[in-house]
Amino acid sequence: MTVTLIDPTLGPAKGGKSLAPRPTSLDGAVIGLINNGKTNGREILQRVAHNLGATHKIADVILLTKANPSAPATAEELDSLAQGSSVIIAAIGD
Amino acid sequence: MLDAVNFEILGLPAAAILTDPFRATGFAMAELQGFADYPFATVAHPITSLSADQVNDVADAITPAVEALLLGPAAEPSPDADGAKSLLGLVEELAAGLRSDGADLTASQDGDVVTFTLDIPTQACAECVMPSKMLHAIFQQRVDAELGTGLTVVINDPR
Repeated sequence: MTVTLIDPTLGPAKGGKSLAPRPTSLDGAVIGLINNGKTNGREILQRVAHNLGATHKIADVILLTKANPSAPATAEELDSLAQGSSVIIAAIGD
Repeated sequence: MLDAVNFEILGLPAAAILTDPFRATGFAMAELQGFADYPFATVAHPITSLSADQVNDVADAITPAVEALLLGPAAEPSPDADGAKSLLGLVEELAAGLRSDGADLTASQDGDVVTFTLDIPTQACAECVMPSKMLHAIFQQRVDAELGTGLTVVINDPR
């Protein structure tokens, strides 16, 4: 007889989730910028997006500033940016 | 960091930009969401006090890393690469992200209980420090990883 023991305690996830598929180019991409509202975060994001536009044919750039810099983006904030974006840049963890 | 991995879960490639003191916290936050060794880009701290020209220099320097993150996975060394830490070393690692906001962290261990005490002076940016619930998850993950499982983390938060 086989006995299966199950550990009911909950621990942190160690991995297992995969990165979203990456494009081979940013040509035609809409870059979603998520700014957590900390000083200079928006400026860095916009400059990076501008720089990417120099080497890729970026279709558009969308900026979202979170209402609370120290809390995760709300479901509404995630959805609003995800719907129009191809890739995301988040800043700044500071 | 949490926002970037949440977009990954939604199927969107994301690149997170953090300052150096937040590397350990960033790795831990991503791992808690199931993304072990999640790659991100880091810049020198502090950012908030930089001039406009300095901000542009930082952004210009980090752009290739962000591009690489969006187009394909990049390698960042795991924070565990140095091996196991002592409690003192772990506190120093975790405190780095708090000190940038004017707060600090101490810790003590009594048996199986590790107590972290947040010091948030009145002049510190209390709202910039993550809520206790989030800190607890990160601290517990780092204690498990560095000091071994079976220890219980308690946080004394003056807020």
